[in-house]
Amino acid sequence: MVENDRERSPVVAATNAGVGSSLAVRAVDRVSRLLGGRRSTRRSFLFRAAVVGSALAVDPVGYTLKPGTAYASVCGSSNTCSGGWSVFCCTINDGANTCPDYSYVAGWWKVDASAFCLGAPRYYIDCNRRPSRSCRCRCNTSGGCDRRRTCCNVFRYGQCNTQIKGVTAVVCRIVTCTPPWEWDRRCGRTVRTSESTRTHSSACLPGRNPSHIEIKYQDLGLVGSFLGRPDGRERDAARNGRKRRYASGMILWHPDQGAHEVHGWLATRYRRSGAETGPLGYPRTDHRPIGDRSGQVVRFERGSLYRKFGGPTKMVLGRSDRRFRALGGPRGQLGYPTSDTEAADGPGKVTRFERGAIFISSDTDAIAVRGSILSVYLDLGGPHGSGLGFPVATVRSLRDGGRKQRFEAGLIIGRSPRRVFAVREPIRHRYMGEMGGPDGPWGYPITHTGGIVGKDGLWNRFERAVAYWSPQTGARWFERGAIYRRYRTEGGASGWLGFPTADQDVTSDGRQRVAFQYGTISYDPVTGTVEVA
Amino acid sequence: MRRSVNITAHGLAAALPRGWEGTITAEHQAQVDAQVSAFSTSARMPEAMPVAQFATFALPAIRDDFGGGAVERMGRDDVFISLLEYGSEEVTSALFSDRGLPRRLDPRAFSPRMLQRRIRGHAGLQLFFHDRGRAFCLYVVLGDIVDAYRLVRRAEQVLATIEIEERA
Repeated sequence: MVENDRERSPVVAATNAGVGSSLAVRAVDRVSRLLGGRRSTRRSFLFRAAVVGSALAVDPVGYTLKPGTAYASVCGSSNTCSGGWSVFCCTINDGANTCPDYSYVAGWWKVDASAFCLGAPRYYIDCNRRPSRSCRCRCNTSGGCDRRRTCCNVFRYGQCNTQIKGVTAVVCRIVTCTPPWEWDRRCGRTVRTSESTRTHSSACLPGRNPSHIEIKYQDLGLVGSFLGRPDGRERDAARNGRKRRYASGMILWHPDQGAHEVHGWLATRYRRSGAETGPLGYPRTDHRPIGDRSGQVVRFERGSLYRKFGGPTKMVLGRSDRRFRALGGPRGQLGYPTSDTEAADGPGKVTRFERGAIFISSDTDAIAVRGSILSVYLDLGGPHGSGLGFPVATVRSLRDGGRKQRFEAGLIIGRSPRRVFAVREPIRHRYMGEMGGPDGPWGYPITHTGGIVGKDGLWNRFERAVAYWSPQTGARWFERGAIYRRYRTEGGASGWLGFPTADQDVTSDGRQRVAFQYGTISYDPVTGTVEVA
Repeated sequence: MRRSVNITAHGLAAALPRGWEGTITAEHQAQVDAQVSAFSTSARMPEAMPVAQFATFALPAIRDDFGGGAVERMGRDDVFISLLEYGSEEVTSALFSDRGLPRRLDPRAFSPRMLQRRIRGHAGLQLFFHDRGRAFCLYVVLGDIVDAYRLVRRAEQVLATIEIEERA
């Protein structure tokens, strides 16, 4: 019977699977001898075999070569009830390295230079019984070698949740490598140490010299974390990193970024984008709440994933993400992203947000465009269709309350949000330079820059003037008066007169005159007559 | 013949009666800073705070703040006292709301369960309080619960001499 059980035991399976070292084989032999001399039930055998398996995994050299038991190798000193110490939470809490619901975080101590934390301090955090709840003092007897006490020691380290008065029994202990005051904001930083507990551990906790991913998972709560149970083994990842998948997410580690978790919707989106080999790269942070708790963000090497609760998860990349964060992120003027950073119908990229968009190209920085200027920009076709190119400056306020924003090939400007228009180069150059912009004789534009049917040229109407441009004549302007009305009657720039070749001037006899490529229009303000020649 | 030994440090003082020994220590902040975790994500450092320990037996050089490593050596006639300071921000918290260092202790309040670690025969008591703007925990372990009344009187001999200064 025992022989049959042994063939199925995890230890034998591990050996057959290639643990195979002489140390491991000797350890199994040792177990066999140990068990061979006693009456043993199937249950007790399996239990002890599991502990031995853990001992081999945790401390194979120490377990095999040094005097002691598998229990001590895995669970450390004083691991029995008579040792007087409190049990670890994961031992009694279904594997979760979290406080059971009838307890609260009551205090902590540390052991420096711990092998369980790769030489960093290891923190032990007590979960004490909630004053309103009850629990019975008992020795743990269920699985594993951590047979310490629960709900027995009425004791409190006292750095956490000090709004709760009094001292209740310690239910169990959590361990972390993350400092408790960062792990739980309700914990203070007063240091307490206990060298006596240096070796204390449990079969449900990572052993000595764990991987960064194992430490991260432990500090998140093991199976009690939002990641759930492991779904596969830890394995190599791109650029000398490591990763492991869990039921609801993943933990990735990279030497430059440390270990971070991604879970839930963000993990789904991250995996879909190629995870660490995709555009985002490795995570640089865990999930962080957006300031007003309306959503979550995870920052990566080359961007961020944002999710508004109840909304979609969106990926903002590179300089666009840096600009977005500089503008306050989701709580800033742009709100949450409503699209990924994606190609802007050609070279360059665009990311759309609830209240704006960020555009970027190889020649321009990431610039946000918002409100009515964005509406006009997109209505005109965006970076490529509008003829304006990409934005090159942020929106500026004008003295009279108007607003303007520069683009590669023009600007969008308006006196009020309802009257915003695009002025393209080279008319913009003349308008904003020599003509003084909206404060000058032209005033604000009242149309977008338009093309001339059948000809290579542009025109723009302003509050008090109209401007035309062609490669042959340059940018010319004249007032929106009698001359302009007649010019339109004659077909404008598409008509027989062609483009103006000079700005409007006044002749020696007081008449206003505009010279065109193929004629002249003059206006006598005294008689009101308009002449075309 | 020696009557008492005065020890003073970190704004704490005690006159130890004959048969007692004690220390008042605080880890150097720089030492604590050097031990900050590689797994820390913030610049906030742990705070080293004073710990005063008094005992009727020889205190080992390496011992825990709450007496681990020392209380295991107690005889049935021994008493161990640890007075531990916490961050001053805790003075107004509920846990530390009791005022003043307890000079008299109720032997009936001691219990074998009120120990950081259960050791057969021992009994303990833990009290949180604030005094002169400073937050403290007083932890007392008796070597033999059966003799609690006599051992508590021994502990009170030391408690009566402890002085707490206001923090500078």
